[in-house]
Amino acid sequence: MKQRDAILVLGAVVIATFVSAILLAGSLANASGSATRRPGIFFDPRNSPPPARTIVDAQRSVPDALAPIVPLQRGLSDTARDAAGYLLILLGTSAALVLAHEQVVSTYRASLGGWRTQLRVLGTGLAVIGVSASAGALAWIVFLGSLSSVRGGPLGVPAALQVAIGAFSVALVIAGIAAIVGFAAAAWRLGDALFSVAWLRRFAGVPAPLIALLGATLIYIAWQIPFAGGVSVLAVLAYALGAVVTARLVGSARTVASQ
Amino acid sequence: MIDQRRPSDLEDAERLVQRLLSAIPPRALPLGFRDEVMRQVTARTTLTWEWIAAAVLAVPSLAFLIFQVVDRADEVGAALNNIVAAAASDSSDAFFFVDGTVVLALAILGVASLIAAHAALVRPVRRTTAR
Repeated sequence: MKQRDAILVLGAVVIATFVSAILLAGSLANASGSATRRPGIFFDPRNSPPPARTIVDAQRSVPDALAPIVPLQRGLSDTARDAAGYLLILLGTSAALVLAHEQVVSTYRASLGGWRTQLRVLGTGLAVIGVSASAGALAWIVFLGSLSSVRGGPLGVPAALQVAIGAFSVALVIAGIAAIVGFAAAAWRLGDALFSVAWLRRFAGVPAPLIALLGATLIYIAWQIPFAGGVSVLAVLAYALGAVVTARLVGSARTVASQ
Repeated sequence: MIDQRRPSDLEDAERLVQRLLSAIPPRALPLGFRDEVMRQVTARTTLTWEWIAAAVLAVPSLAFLIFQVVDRADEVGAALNNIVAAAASDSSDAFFFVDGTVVLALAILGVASLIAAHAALVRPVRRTTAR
């Protein structure tokens, strides 16, 4: 194990120790012995969740050594709850980079080029979204129109609807996987674009996964902007799908050319 | 006449060294030399630290989540029942709350799993490359 590896392991140990203390304080502060505790997970169409205990109350139910951590734990808990979407995006991007590395790299390569290439990728993505939306809507219209003939059949309308919803969900999952791969490549491209700015060029040696995560962070921030957020998410989705389709087409063209 | 074997961009100081090294007759590398070099290269890129880091990060989060499931099983069950009931009803409103530490533990467990997946996936690829 090299010195760099040892430092990374040491860093992981430090993070794990800190997180363990936070989790332990959280567990003890909301242990089942306490009289009024807020549920760990709550969903109700009618009632709102019970209020949280005050920090002073929570500090009384933990050992003295952990009492100073309770305010930090409460703040971190609130932040983590609000940042669940951001954490999910980071995790999805990282998962695509690790588990579908080759696909992400080929998609990234397909989106390299000047503004004409970028526009072509974006246009391809918008076209893919348009085709998918039209085909999906038409498929539902055709299916719902044919339900009258199913009514007297052995399946019945509810079962036919459930089968259709299941099939539609499978199609959505497949499109979602392609979108995640494209999103990781798009985030990587965005990070690259950011690091091509003159005063950031000195950090050009940053590892590619960190550049991709920075790009994903920028996309998430853009998503939070009122009004413009929806447009930017649509543009990113279109770019991601366009890059995936372009990569597939480039790969297919090369295969045909080699034969 | 230009010597094809001599690099064209040599400095004056490098010409003597170039002539000296060029005079050595080529010799075949000893048997197993390449394998030995590749073994050293792959040994240097061992990913043991990734397994250790993954385990260190995963264990506290996993223990916390197991404790939560054991300690709050009734709350999870009630929330799931309410979700199923809300899906079947026509209510237009719903209240949701989740403990942020659960989110934190899930995120760290996911990161640890990704580190472990990276260590598991990269090692066989490098071994195959070495062969």
